[in-house]
Amino acid sequence: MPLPSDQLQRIIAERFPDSDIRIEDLAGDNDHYRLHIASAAFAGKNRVQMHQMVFAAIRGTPAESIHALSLVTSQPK
Amino acid sequence: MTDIKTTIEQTVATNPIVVYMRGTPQQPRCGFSATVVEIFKRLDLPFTAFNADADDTLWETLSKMNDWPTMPQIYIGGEFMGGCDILKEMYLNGELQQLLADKGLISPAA
Repeated sequence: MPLPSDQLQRIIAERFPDSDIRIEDLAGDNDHYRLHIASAAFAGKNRVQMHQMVFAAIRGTPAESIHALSLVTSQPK
Repeated sequence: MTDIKTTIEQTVATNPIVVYMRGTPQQPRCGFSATVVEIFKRLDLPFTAFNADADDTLWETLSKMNDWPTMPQIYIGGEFMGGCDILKEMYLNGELQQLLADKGLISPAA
């Protein structure tokens, strides 16, 4: 289900404070996003673990129902 | 009744590349699944595919096993690799080809 990007931004920012977040709306429909997130919380984690942390963070939130959410996770440079 | 988790574990242990996806390789039902199929096609690698759209229990079980709510989910050499985003990143930066070569699934020159 569509979710405005500012709401997605807020949900992610609340759960990953001090992270750099960038959101691309891939289809212009608020339902296909690419979420770029660089967070110190990812220190020592591999890619699978970083994605699992994002999935866990959005569980139970409106972000969970976005049709397509592509993830690009990294540690802050 | 066969335990689905056990079936998955046996499947990924006995098949070099396993893709749990939406739809079939011939007819993927989402862009992410289609991308994964395309990557293995380009590498000219056969893989074992299962349609999670056709089996809610399969999807639910994989989701719990891997803490991963979405499809596709990819296993290489029995190891959970994540989904489309990770596989695509690994393909584009050459990590995937290196991993496949290390596992003897493709020749290093390919």
